Amino acid sequence: MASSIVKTPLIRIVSARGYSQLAPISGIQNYEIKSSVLSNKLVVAAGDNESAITRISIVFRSIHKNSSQFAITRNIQQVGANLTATSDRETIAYTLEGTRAAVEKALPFLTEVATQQVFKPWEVSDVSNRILLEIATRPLQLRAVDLLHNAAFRTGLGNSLFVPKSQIGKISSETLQHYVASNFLSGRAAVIGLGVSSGELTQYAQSLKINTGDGCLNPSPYKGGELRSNKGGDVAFVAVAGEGAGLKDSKEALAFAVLQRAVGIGPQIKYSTRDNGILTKTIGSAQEYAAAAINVSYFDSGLFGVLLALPSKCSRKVVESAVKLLTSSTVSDEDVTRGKNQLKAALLLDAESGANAIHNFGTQAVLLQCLQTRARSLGRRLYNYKRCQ
Amino acid sequence: MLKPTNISTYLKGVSQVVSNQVNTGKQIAILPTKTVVQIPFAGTSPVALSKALPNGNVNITSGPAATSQVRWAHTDITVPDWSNYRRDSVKSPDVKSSGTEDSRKNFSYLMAGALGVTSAYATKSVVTQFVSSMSATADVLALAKIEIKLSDIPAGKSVTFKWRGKPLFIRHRTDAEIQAEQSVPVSSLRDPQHDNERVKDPKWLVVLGVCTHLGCVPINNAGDFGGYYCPCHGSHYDASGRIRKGPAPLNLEVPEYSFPSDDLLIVG
Repeated sequence: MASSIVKTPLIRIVSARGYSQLAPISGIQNYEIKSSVLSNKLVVAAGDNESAITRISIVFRSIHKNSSQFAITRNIQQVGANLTATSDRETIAYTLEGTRAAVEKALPFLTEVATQQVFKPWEVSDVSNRILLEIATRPLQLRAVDLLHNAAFRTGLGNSLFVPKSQIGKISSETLQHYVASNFLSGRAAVIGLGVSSGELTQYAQSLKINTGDGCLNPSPYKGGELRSNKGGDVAFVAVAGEGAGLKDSKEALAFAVLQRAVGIGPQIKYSTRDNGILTKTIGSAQEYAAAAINVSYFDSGLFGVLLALPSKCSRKVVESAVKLLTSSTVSDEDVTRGKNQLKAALLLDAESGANAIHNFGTQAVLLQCLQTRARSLGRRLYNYKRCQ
Repeated sequence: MLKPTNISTYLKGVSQVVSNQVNTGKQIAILPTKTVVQIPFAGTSPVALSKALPNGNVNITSGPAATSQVRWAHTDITVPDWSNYRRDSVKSPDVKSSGTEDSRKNFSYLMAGALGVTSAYATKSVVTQFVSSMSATADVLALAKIEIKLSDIPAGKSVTFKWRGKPLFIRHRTDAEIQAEQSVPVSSLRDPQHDNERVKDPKWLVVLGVCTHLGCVPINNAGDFGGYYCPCHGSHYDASGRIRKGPAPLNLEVPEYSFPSDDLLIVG
């Protein structure tokens, strides 16, 4: 996630206006993130933003393997807290959020859900119908992105976010247990807290019983290819992409993030239909179709391209011009400036939500083992970033 | 053996209405094992379409806090048509309903008022009919009263009538009697009542002729006090019907009566 890397507050001046106001529910914005690595390589990061809501997240790095939809339902809501499991292609995060008192009560459940999973066979079989429904109702644009990954990486990152239909009901609880045992290791885990003090969180992290080890990481090299799936209907979703930047090279990742905005991700002004990106200028803005640049960065690789939604009959011409844009096009200074501005605004807006912030921190901590908390340096780098093609 | 004419029947994909004795072995139709309705995606507007496109970063959230409700659209439910219940003036979608508001309200209020009054009157008459059935009949009411012509009763005379099955004494008192009764000290009486309390007109005493002791009929102009005397046990009443001597505890009872004119007395 290229954008995740820089989602800490960029400009601390923004928080200055808060001095004359009451502290908002989301707390103060210029909080300090204190991160440390425990002896078993568990990354602990805490930021006390004086918010009324505390969020604690336990994040594991994992090659995504078909266990995403397991809603481990516990009676957390009785104390007024929320527990969610969020997974993408590289990480899975168990996040508990609620008021401080509620989180304190519900913390044992988070520990149990995240580190001491018990997959009871009847519970596993119970979710089959639900997964069938969710797979059947996937939006097509999501499928396009899924197929794009499949074509680009084949395995690893190429695996779908969803279980293949053929596997539903066939994954046993032992398979899941084995997966947990081999992936949920301290060397690839992080504990993140927002609205909680660093000392308390470290104490909590030390009490977690996570198996030590680093596990094995299978890199998924970019391979490329083409996949099609006919789902009927008049609207075609076409995703065209090449290899982007991984988070390893944060400078490249930042560049791609700016480029994504320069190419255009749809109208940025409320109620507006106008998109000033290069993409819209190239393919023209007709009423029937929409286009957006997509950019996604994983640890060692990434994808950059465009996603088009258009009537299938006229797709040929539009896709051709989009590919032409990706392969041979120049980006003007003006576009880069617009891209940088849009990215800054998006980052700042995103960082205001505690839920987004903890997700981003978790991804950074578990993939990079450190947090890019130096917001100013990131901001400076963003400003210094010049046009390069 | 296959004849050339028969071959074509094997190549046909249609069923035969009239059998030609050739079993083609084809299935007539294959029904799907399950019905699947899939509504293909259709963008509503360019903006909506644009908003629906992800920027690449996709993740899945599940858990107790994630919304997991499923709503199905039931398209077989018909929306009821209320046209029969609506006023004609508001049926048209092109016409402002505020224009006819006054007339509709007037009609409603007038109808409500008129029906209210009518139903109240009907209720009253029904209730009256049932309640009046419980009251006394006309012949009973006719016997309940008695009219007495006073000019037929000379002064100093007591006349006995029958009223509601009981004897009724009407006494035309003389001035001397009136004077005597008025002057009796109330404190000396067993049932203390002044003469004025017992008569409306001092000239006329109206009492029931039933002794308050055990119900015998007293005798007129007898006894120690010139009034009534009960022969059964010797109770003496004066000319005001008050008990003066003997076992009776109370004065003779005075019924309801009135003088509609100087010459007429109505008792009851």
